[in-house]
Amino acid sequence: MGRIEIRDFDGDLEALSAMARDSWLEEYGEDTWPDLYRPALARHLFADVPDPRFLIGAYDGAKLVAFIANLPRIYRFNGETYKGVASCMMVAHKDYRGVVVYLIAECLRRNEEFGADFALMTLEKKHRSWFMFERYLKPNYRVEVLKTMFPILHAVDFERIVESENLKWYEVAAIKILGAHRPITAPSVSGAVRPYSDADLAEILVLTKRYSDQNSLVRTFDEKSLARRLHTEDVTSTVVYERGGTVAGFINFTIYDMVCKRGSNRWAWIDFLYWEGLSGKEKKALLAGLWEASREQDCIGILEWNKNYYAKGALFRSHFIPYPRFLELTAWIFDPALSLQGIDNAFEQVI
Amino acid sequence: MTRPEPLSFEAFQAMLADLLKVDVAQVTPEAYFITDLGLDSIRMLEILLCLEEMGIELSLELAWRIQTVGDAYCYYQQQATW
Repeated sequence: MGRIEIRDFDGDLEALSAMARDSWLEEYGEDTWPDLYRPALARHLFADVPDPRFLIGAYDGAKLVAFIANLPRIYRFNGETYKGVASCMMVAHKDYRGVVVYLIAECLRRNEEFGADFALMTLEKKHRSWFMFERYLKPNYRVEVLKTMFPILHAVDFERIVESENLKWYEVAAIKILGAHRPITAPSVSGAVRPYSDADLAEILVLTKRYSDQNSLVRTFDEKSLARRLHTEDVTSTVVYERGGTVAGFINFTIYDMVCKRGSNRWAWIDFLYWEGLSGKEKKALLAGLWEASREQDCIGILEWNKNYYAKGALFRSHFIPYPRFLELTAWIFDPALSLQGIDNAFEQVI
Repeated sequence: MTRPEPLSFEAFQAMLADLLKVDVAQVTPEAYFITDLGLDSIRMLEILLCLEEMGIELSLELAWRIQTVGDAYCYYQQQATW
């Protein structure tokens, strides 16, 4: 052990995955955590990164001991376009926890070089990194909280959720009373629910752009990155609601492994969705399609964070229930004229 | 008004040992904060803030330069005698 070198990540996704698993298993113990470092998922997330400087590793000799990703993105906010980065996947080996300070420092330097207007982060409340921001970084830098987020979820394979989340008998009873364990079944509708195909891309791009005028903070896509977002084998999927030969709505999700000492199970996290103009029955049909697609991909549950960029009533009517885990969507602001404090709507994935 | 005399290494070492709750003998110039003294991220930031309270301006962007006790003392000396 010696001097830590902060440099561009060398691209060894297996080493990153192994280091992250060791670190988080020790940190989370019996609780589950989302494995953002699964090589297929990491490869997908890094596919849009144009420059190696956006992925930063800390090395002790040749050994990767900490990592952070700065994923460059374009956002719309109040009619203006901004350069942002999603700062995510920060992890340090258990013997090198302090290195994250060096990583954050290097991130700041590189974000300035890149000319980023802000960096978006999700911090798990009461977790070590959240305390670091609360105590030391928020008082000294322009770090703003957009919103507190909590998940709502619906089971796909309830028995496996009970085992994986180690649920108590009264939690099982409550979930059953609320109906979140039952399959979501499709009502009779005039349109068709089906998997996304490449021919849908142009129409879906138009739908995602509609949010630019309606919501507070909206990630924008080009065709290539949206195509990857909508379908990447074993990572992202999309179900589409087609009415009258056109795409009227869609739900896009990412498959995350939720890992703990008892094992690993897949969950479908809803990321991008458009269902403005669909009736209640059509939304339920789309959710039934999501449930089926999740089941086919061996996911044990569906999870959504309260991103609030669309009306969530149909989720609750399909028996999605809140789960007590909390994140803070946080932004490190570099543009002196910009403030994102207290924004409730964010068209962006939670990573 | 004259600047106060900078701390000797021994005084600096004792202050760090007190802050880090470790034996003063461990706080050698060669000791790495993270790998030898076992500092996590929160303790690392405490050290940086402590240096700031001593009047040492250290931007976070330059924090990675301070890896050993010797680095910290050098930086402190440069700033204190500037």
